[in-house]
Amino acid sequence: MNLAILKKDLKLSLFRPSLLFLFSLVSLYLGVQFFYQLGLFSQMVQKSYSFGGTSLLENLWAPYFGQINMILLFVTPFVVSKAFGEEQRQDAMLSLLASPLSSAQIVFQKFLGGWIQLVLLCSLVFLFPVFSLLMFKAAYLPELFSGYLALVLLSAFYSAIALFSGSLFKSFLMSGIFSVLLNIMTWSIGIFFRDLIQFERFDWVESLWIGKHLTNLFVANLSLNSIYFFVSGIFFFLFLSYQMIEQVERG
Amino acid sequence: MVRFSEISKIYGEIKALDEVSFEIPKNTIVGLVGPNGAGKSTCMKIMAGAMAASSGELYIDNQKIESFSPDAWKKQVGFLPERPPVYEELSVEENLSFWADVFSIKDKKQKTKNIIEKTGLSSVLKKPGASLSKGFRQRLGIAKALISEPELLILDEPLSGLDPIQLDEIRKLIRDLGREHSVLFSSHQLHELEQVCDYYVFLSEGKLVSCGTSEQIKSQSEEPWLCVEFFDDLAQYPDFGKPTRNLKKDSFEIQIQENAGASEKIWDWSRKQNLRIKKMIWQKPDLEQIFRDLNSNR
Repeated sequence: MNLAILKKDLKLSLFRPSLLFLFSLVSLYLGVQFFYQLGLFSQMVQKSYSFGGTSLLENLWAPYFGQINMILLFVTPFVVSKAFGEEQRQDAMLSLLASPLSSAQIVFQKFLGGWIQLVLLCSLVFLFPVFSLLMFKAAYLPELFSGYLALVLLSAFYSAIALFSGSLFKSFLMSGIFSVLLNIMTWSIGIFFRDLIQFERFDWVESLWIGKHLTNLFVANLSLNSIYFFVSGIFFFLFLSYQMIEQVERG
Repeated sequence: MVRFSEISKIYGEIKALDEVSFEIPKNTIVGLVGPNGAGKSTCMKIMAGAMAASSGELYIDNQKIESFSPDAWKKQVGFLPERPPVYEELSVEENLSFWADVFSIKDKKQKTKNIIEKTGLSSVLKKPGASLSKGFRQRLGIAKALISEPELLILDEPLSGLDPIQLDEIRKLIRDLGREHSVLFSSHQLHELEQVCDYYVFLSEGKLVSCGTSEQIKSQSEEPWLCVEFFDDLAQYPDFGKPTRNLKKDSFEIQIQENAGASEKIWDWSRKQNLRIKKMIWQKPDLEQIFRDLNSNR
């Protein structure tokens, strides 16, 4: 398989100072947050002798994963939505379309290029939970794996949305803003149904809500439905990006 | 040989190309001429496979393009868009290596080396794309177009924005390339093409207006103008039943066949009028004038 675009994108992005700075900033912020949560968790552990048990998963990792989700929601558009805009800026998009690569290959490689960067970021900030696991010598390895899987799938989901947004707008700013709005919408629609309409009457809506599936994975409930949800969401937005390239660029 | 057969491209209600047909013979440099918005770039994008036509057929060596795999077709066509693709953070060498990977070129190092020599990029090989002059950017774009050793080279406005020295260099490069490849290159300035092209295709408002060699196009054009200037002011103008223009006190232009004894007629007439002829010049329309007329007649 020809992976020339992916290789070039990774080569260009991974050593870009702005990206390294962003990743350092995010790691620093999440590190501070994690150790703050760790402090709270230690207090809970001490109190738990008198008030009952605590869970590393529910009381430390789940809130931390929630914060990573918030960070990804805003960072992913910054990293991914310029994928096509960058090719336009360097006047290379037309040449890529005239190359033997199909639109699907271009879209997929662009997606992979952005996603791999986010997986690296997730892996970096995931060292904190790994550290806590070693520190507490707790038997939570499957839960840790489930949490990592959730973040990897979530970053792929946001990447696909950002890529679609990037295929809609040539301006990086516009595509970034639209991508953040879409990310927020995927959350707010579920919250709207949960709080205002009550899920009991709309079970099917709940199954389309990202929050439910993410929580499932964060608390190590590895349901196939949740994995299907993320994978189909990713392919849905990749398909939309492909359609945009075919319709708008190839005419 | 590449044949463009009744190709149309429609955007909503706008016809960017309207049943355009022409041929590009082997090892010929074809100039695609037309004013801005004539459909030149659309035509080139379709030929390069970057854009789909609404209708019509494209043939390479009398085989329909659909009979080629996309991979085989696109390797036969090298495309330089209006603005050459240059990754600014990558060096010239890395840029070419990337495009070689995109086109899955075997023996990448050797082929890249040959193209670098052919396009004169050796001196800037390690320089980042961002630091290249316009001329070297065009060279890099042409090198990229050559990477798959294509039959047909499509160069969209390769001479625009170049200084006179760069212009000469790129013109020479295109002439050299024309010996080994068929080249289609566009410009809205005809004088740029006249120094390089063997064959012309003229588009206007998405339609084919004329095509052929310089001689063929000139032979289809209107009669030349004879400009006559006198030492004295004229009391009256000649009436040979031919169109006249630019009538001034001491001169006029008359459209008349060069071989029809026209100058003798003017001499006779001026002698009878007792006028002394200062100069008499035939103005044959050049390609630029012909295309301008063709465009304004539409």
